[in-house]
Amino acid sequence: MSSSSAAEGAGRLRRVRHWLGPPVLQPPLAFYALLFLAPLLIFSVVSVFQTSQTGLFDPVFTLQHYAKALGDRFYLRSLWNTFEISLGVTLLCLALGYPVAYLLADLRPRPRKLLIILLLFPLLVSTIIRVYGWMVILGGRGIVNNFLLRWRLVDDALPLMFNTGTLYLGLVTILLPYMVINVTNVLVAIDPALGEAASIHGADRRRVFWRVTLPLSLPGVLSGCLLVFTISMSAYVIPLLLGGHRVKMLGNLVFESISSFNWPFAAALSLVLLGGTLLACLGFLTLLGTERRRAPRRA
Amino acid sequence: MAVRPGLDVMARDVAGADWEAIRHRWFRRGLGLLTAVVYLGILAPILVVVLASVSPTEVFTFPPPGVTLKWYQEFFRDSNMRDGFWLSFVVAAGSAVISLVLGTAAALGLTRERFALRHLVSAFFLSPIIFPSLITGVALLLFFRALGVPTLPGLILGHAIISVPYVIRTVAASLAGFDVTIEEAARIHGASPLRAFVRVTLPIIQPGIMAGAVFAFIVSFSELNVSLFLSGPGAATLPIHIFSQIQFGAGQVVIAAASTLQIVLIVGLMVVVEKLFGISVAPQS
Repeated sequence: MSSSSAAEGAGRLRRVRHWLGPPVLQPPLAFYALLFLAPLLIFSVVSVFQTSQTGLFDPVFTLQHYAKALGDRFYLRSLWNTFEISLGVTLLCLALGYPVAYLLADLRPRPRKLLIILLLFPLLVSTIIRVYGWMVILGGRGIVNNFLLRWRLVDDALPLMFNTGTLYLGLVTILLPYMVINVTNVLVAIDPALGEAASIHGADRRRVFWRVTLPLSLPGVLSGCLLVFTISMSAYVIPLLLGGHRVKMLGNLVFESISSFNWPFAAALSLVLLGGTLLACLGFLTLLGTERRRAPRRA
Repeated sequence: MAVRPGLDVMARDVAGADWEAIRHRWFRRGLGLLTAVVYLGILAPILVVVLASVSPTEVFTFPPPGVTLKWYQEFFRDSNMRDGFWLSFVVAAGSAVISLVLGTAAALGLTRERFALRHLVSAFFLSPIIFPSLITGVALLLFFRALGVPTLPGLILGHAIISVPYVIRTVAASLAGFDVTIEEAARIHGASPLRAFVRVTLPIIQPGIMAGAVFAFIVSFSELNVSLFLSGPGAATLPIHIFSQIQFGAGQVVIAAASTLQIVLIVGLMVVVEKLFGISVAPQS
């Protein structure tokens, strides 16, 4: 009997190994399952429970939170704003980041590495510090206003902070490194012989760019865009400190529901945010996918 | 741009090529200007914070009228800030150690064997980097509240989840260049699997492990989104202290000193990684 259960155990172990890999992988998998997957699953379940006045939630099924998050004009508007801002930020990052990546990819390896480290470094510095830097520059008693007042270019400090412009400025400058690094890596990997072959066959520089370089760099554009868009969708410190109270992104509303201990609604709102992000990313993917399929036929 | 002489000579043979060259030169200048502006936008906020921290005036003016260290003295006198710095250090060290062990194990498991769900498991392991950390933070807060996990272990575990992927990436990168036959040779000569790993594999992938651990430390030290939820009263990390000081508008210049200390620490650690391992400028997630 003991031998049969031992054989059963060995069989189970083999099955685990076949599906989930060697034993050394199991502790990290368990850690992730417990501290990443389980909290998210519980969180999703809580989103269909009723709000409790005393505890964290009331385990009674309801869809009212989703009805509110997707039916209430205020929340729908915030979802749309969040989407609009994130899309704008992504496009700006692409428009500014692609040319920079193009220049970096053309440099020799050493200066390129130095310039990429200069992009990596800000990503490691806490977002809060980079936001604070913008406050020192643009605040009521910031560098810009100080300069303008000292030279009597204005009579009163300009309200440079807390508007949509600063929100965009903050998000774009904070997320740009992701775009530049992703696109540069793809551009560097393109075989220069391809461009040379195209110009030997009579294509000018612009044609080489539009027909060879750009299509081949789309994977980097895609990963850069997805990264910037996803982070921007769930931003809430930057909108809070740079956008002020007039611009409310969905992340800020999640934070507010937590502050008022409405856990189930915060959960539903988070899942709406997650679903919206996922849908938009799938949209990007299909858009760029068809673009890539079409590209060779046009060329 | 590396000028490719052969093509340039060829281009000059074509009518109107001079115009093309002039246009290209202006295009290059525009590109250089745009790059300078982009770098300025990315780096200026950080530079300004460093300058403000050593500037004597309460309201920062550019250029600063002098140099002082009084804001640093104030930082170290402020027990809240000091505690925040210390807590950040403890949390970062704790989560770096956890990430180091789990990340190395995961990288070994993912690279050594081909199993059915390998791609899925690999994506799962790297997903905390792309997954909205806002939602990770809220979900963990609810989870820890429900289980009654205290603040400090909660912070360490929460940060570990976010930083494990960085260790996995650096260790996997160093394992990619590792010749498995060396370890097999040790086994054939009678070393136990553990001994072969500790004496042969580990020394070779050690720089990758250390670089990953340093990155994990930095990621945790700068972490804002998850900490904002998992910090509790009396247990807030340095970025959270800076955040609340900004929000409630007290002691503005101390924030610059606190930030600069963090920046200096990060630069120092990046130099260490570069010396140890060479900072990999490979794809970001």
